[in-house]
Amino acid sequence: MIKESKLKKYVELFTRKIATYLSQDISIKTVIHPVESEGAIFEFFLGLNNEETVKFAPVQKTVGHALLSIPQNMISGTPENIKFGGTNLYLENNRVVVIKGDDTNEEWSGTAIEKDVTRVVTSSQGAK
Amino acid sequence: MPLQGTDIEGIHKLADSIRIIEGFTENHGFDGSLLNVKVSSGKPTPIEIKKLDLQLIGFFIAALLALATVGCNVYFDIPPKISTLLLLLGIISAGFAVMAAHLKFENTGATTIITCFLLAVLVIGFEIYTPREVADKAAEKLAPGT
Repeated sequence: MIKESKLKKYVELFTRKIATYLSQDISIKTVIHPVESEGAIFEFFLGLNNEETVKFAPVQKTVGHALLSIPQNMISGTPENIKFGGTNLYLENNRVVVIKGDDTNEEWSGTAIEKDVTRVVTSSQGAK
Repeated sequence: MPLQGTDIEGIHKLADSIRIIEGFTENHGFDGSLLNVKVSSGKPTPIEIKKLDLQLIGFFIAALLALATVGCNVYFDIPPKISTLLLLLGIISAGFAVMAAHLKFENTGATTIITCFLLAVLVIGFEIYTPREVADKAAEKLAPGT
């Protein structure tokens, strides 16, 4: 997904919906990782009085390639060979990483974003 | 052509490295205090809903009261003293409406627009200015020199 308007819309809706759950004075800084093939990665950094900025990282070939540029302990080895489907979430320290594997309307709709936020919120309290 | 041993190993390696991840969630030491989550419910608490609704209800009541004072002044033949009282009531109501709107929407632009509209309705309704004068003043503010 490289369509800027759709990526920005996702960020706008995601941050708006998760805002009701944020603790006091917590704000979100976002980095969008667009990819040439299907899907995209969003990094949401939650912090105390963060600047609420939205930045675009350079466009990568696939979601797997984009994952190489993100510090993460979710996938070891060579993520560029991994195929992603649906919505995958990775929560670490003050960061929420949303990995979208498809470009389907179902995965990018308002209802899907609500589900993503609910998944983030419900899994946020149970760290491994 | 039959596959050589090295080819088969290569295919095995490739098969091992190609994985599909779908609908996966992992919490790797996320700071749960960043999110204010009530375990019993994922939705905002009823108290928050009530608070938000009160602001909206307050805005509508105050705005309606301000408009009602204008309505009374326009439709009923009332003495000047009562008209002044109605004007004061209208200003107070408009003030409350603006405050409630600002608390509810937290948007300076929306508050400014509501303030301008309520003021325009009050000054026209109480015949302080004619609609044309209000339009001229608004045009002067929006596009000076026209």
